[in-house]
Amino acid sequence: MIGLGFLGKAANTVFLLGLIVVAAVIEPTILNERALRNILTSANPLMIVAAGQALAMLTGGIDLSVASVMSLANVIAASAMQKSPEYAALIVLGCVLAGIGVGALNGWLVSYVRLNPFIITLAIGMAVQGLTLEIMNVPSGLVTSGFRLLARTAFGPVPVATIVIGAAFVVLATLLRQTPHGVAIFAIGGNEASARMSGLPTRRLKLAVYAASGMLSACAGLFLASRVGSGDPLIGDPYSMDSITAAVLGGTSLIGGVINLAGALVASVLLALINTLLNLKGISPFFQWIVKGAILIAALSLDLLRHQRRSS
Amino acid sequence: MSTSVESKQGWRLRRPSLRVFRLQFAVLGAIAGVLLLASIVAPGFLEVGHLLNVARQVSSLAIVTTGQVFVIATGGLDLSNGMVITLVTVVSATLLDGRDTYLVPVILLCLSIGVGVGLVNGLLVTKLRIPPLIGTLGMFGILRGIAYVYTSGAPKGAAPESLKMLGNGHLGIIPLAVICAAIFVPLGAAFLNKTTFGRRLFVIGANRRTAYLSGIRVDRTIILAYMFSGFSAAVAGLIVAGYIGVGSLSAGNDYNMNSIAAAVIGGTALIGGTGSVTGGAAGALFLGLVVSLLRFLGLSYSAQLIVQGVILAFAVFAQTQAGPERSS
Repeated sequence: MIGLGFLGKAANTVFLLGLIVVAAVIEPTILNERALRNILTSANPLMIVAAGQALAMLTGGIDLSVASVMSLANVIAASAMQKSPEYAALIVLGCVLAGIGVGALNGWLVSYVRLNPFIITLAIGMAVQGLTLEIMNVPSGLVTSGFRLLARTAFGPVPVATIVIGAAFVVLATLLRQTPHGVAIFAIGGNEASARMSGLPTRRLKLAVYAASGMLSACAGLFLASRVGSGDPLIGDPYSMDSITAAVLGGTSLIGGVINLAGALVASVLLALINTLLNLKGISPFFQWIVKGAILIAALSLDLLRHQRRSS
Repeated sequence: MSTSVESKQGWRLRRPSLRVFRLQFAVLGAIAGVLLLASIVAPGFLEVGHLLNVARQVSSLAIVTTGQVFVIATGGLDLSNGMVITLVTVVSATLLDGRDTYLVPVILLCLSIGVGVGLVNGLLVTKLRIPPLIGTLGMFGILRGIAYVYTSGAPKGAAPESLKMLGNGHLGIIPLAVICAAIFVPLGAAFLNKTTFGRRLFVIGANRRTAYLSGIRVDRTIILAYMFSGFSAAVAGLIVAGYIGVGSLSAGNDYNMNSIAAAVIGGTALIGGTGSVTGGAAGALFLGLVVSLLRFLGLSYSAQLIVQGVILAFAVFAQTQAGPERSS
């Protein structure tokens, strides 16, 4: 099943890459070094969250708190670094731990208390958003100049962060496919009850998955802090929906049991590219919401059609 | 572990009445608790005028929740209703622009926007088989885009006197909005509990396949539930437009989360098959009381968000503890 699905999934990724090439042909101005770097930089945070979202979806769940966790890490980093820039490294660590903490709370509620992941991550997200606004009410704060380099260093058109993220994706994919625990996560998504009856530690694994999603959201929030240079309590807002879109567009199924990390990576770039193109054409940013909503629905319909065909 | 491997789909129609009753009882207790707490920490909160004002704020939420309960009863969810409210607010305020001349056609237009959005939601969920939460979330994004493009991103228009009356006026000391809710909610409850259509929603939510095999037109019934949800959001939108007085782009922001929270607090299970409209209205009242008490005590919006999140989490938790059925 995994081997056979892989062919179909590769085709999906190739199709998305094809769309990027088409876009480049239509609008050659995006092909210069600076534009490419900008597109990749704006795709970076989405890539990170989409990976976490894809993991949650692999177990048949979802994480709607990613947006608030991103904002939380973002404002903690910006406000704490402004006060005590000498502890930048510790602050970054603290933000990541906060992300893991929220994720673990989500995971505990989903797996041990057995609450509906949609609603419980929504509720936790709401509370975390409140906490974030409590820390910082309006955009403010300042990150250290060293921390800003994180999002700003690049080899020609390729930001260093993109390379790091790519490498992390390879490690994550290998862990998922080559370790017993990784394969067990696939089993949970396929059929949780039978995974549990086969003696797999389903609850611990699900907790770990949500903790990972929280950690990745925090990393994405940190990346945005580095890129913008200051904090914004609502900066994560669009990412809950966008991360689902990127994951589904990349071939990860909402039904669970299927993940495509390479696809999520390429889909993130594609979404950033679409945003850039709409901006270049002078189309109102409000119109982009319509486009994004339509892409989400279209991607889902395609995903479900694919699954219907496979099962029939 | 005792249930079958595919789990979740059990025959649940016999028990929920007791279960929902128990949860509704809990809501009434919670409301009494809030009032008791208020009498200790903030006696001014309990003045009749102030309580009626809270009831006015709650009435639009109670109306939206009615539609949400219909959808949740089928095992679905409507996240787009908040944006329907915003869109209706914007459309009615800009088209009427303070005059009553075209009141009836504009109201009909607004109601059909709600019903139309519900129709699209229903089609997405049934014909394309998109999970309701994501499908209606996508719809939310699309509607937000439309509302912003339509107004170019700034509040626009003005509500006419008649709508202002609806949102802000009183009959004696009772706010008109409360009267609207007092008509809408019981009608919704009767519709859900006493008609064949309403009972079918429960059967579909309890077991879709059984519903199909017993001859219910599942897709059509679900689509109608979403259309009703859109309709109730549009009705609430007209009230909100009258209260705010302009076409505000943030008018409906909190309604999707809050309507789900109110429904859940009122004893409607998210897995479908159960649902109580009156419970939902009680849940809305509870939420409204808590939020306005927090505001009365001078707590910030951020603190309110935290409390609301915790309440929603706790309500979902209480649900799993209250019923005999526990999924997988």
